[in-house]
Amino acid sequence: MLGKSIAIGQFIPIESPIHRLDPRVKILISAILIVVLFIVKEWLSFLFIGSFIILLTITARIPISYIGKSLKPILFLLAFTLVLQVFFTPGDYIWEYGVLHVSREGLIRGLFIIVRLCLLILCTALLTLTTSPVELTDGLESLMSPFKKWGFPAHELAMMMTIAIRFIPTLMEEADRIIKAQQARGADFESGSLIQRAKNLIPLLVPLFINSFKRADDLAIAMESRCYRGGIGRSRLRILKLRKADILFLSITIIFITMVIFLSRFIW
Amino acid sequence: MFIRLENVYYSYFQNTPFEVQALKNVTLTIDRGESVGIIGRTGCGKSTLIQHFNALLFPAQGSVFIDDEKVQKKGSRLKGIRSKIGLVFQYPEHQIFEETVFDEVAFGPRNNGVSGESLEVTVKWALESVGLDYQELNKKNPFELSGGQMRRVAIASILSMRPEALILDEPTAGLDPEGKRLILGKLKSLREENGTTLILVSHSMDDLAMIAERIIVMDKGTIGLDGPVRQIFSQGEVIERYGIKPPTTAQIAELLRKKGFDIGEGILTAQELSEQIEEKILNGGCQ
Repeated sequence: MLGKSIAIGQFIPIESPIHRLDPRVKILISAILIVVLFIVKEWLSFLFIGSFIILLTITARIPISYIGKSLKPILFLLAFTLVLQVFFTPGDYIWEYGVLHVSREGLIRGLFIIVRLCLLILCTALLTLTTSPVELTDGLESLMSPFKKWGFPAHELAMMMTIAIRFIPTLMEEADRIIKAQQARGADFESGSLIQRAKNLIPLLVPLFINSFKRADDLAIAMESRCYRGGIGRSRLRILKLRKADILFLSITIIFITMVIFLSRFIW
Repeated sequence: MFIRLENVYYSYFQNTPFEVQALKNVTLTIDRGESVGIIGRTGCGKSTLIQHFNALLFPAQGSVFIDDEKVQKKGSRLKGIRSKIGLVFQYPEHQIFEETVFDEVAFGPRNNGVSGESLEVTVKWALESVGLDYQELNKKNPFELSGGQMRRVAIASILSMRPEALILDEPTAGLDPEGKRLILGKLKSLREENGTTLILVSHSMDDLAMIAERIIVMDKGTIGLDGPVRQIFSQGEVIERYGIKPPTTAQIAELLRKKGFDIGEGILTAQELSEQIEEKILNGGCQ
């Protein structure tokens, strides 16, 4: 019951040119796109970036409906932003009721921010839909490794991410089992006031934490007994290699984005 | 009829590409006071089946009746069903959360509104039924107990709801032989003294030989075999098709029989086997 409502790891394992790209390239491009989305101030730039993202989605063979689903969790945030912008931006009032007033500028700015947020989400969704969690952490580790010189724990961070992702399903299964075990003892997780419900979670949370600590202990021992000592001198199974296609794709994207910024700054 | 399943189907992840059919057209009845062992390969639907017995899972198709009352997700008194039929999950000590043994065992009855002196009586009875000393343990922190004691506290925490049937999923897994014998012995006497219906899921045929009177063999979500324990365990070749080996004692008897000794069929306990050996071999001499 709990397990079904939390969707994790939205990666869709299919074959496509986008799936085959080096994860580092995908992470870099997503990061650049996110920055650019905050720089540009024109509707036309949004149009370009938006069509670019849609083009990528089609190339990745991901159903448009699927990528739309990723917007669902932030619907409230979108609505909230729109309301704030619409009612609290001064300007030409196009509608008034008591203390409430809607300005033309507010409406435009609200919509603008919503489009920006949507594009942000779509861009990150595209990354996680086409890149497996393992590739993602490998890519992040590789991208962060230059900072090791200054003592940045790139490998350790990536390892922590991998372990965290690995244990999400285990934890959900465990939660499901404990919920059932406590229900078998007459526990009630579904009714009562908010405070009562929070209290009712104790029989779930205490065993869940205890078992997680135990599991972490076991995992640490298992890793140490296989001589794990952090990232130094560690070889890897999957070695990330930039192919021609990766470099080509990265170059095209960077040229395209530079053009969009240039146009946005100097022409419109 | 106590527990009755009629044409029950159940699937996990229904209506998704990951759908797995766990139960297929299962029909069975279990009467009051029976002692049933459920066996089968990993993933054959044993755990799914027992969760239907106490309304933790609801059939996708077909129906479940407890005391001739149909179990439904809405409208049935689920708490009532769940305390009538206690379910002890695998490694039940992993669900312990209270600070004292008393509170842990009292969790179930408290949820059912039991309090005061009758709560104390119930907790005392439950702890003593699993062979734990109430005076010594009730104020103790359950996490300081040994593994076997924690297991018994967890079983007591189900017993304290005074269920009419007790379902146990691998109750002896991971215990030492002493702890194993103790738990099985306590379950046996619980049934003899209170008439509690016992349903055991186990991979240990030796355990089941000690305690079960009827065996249900599950196979790929359906019931493969269902019959009296002696009958099931004497058909070595038939049950091996379901990935099951008869209890050690039955295997020894079978071996002796093949060697030409006149050992009777349907031997279950070490006691019976040694009696037969004494009678037919030592006294009768080799043939």
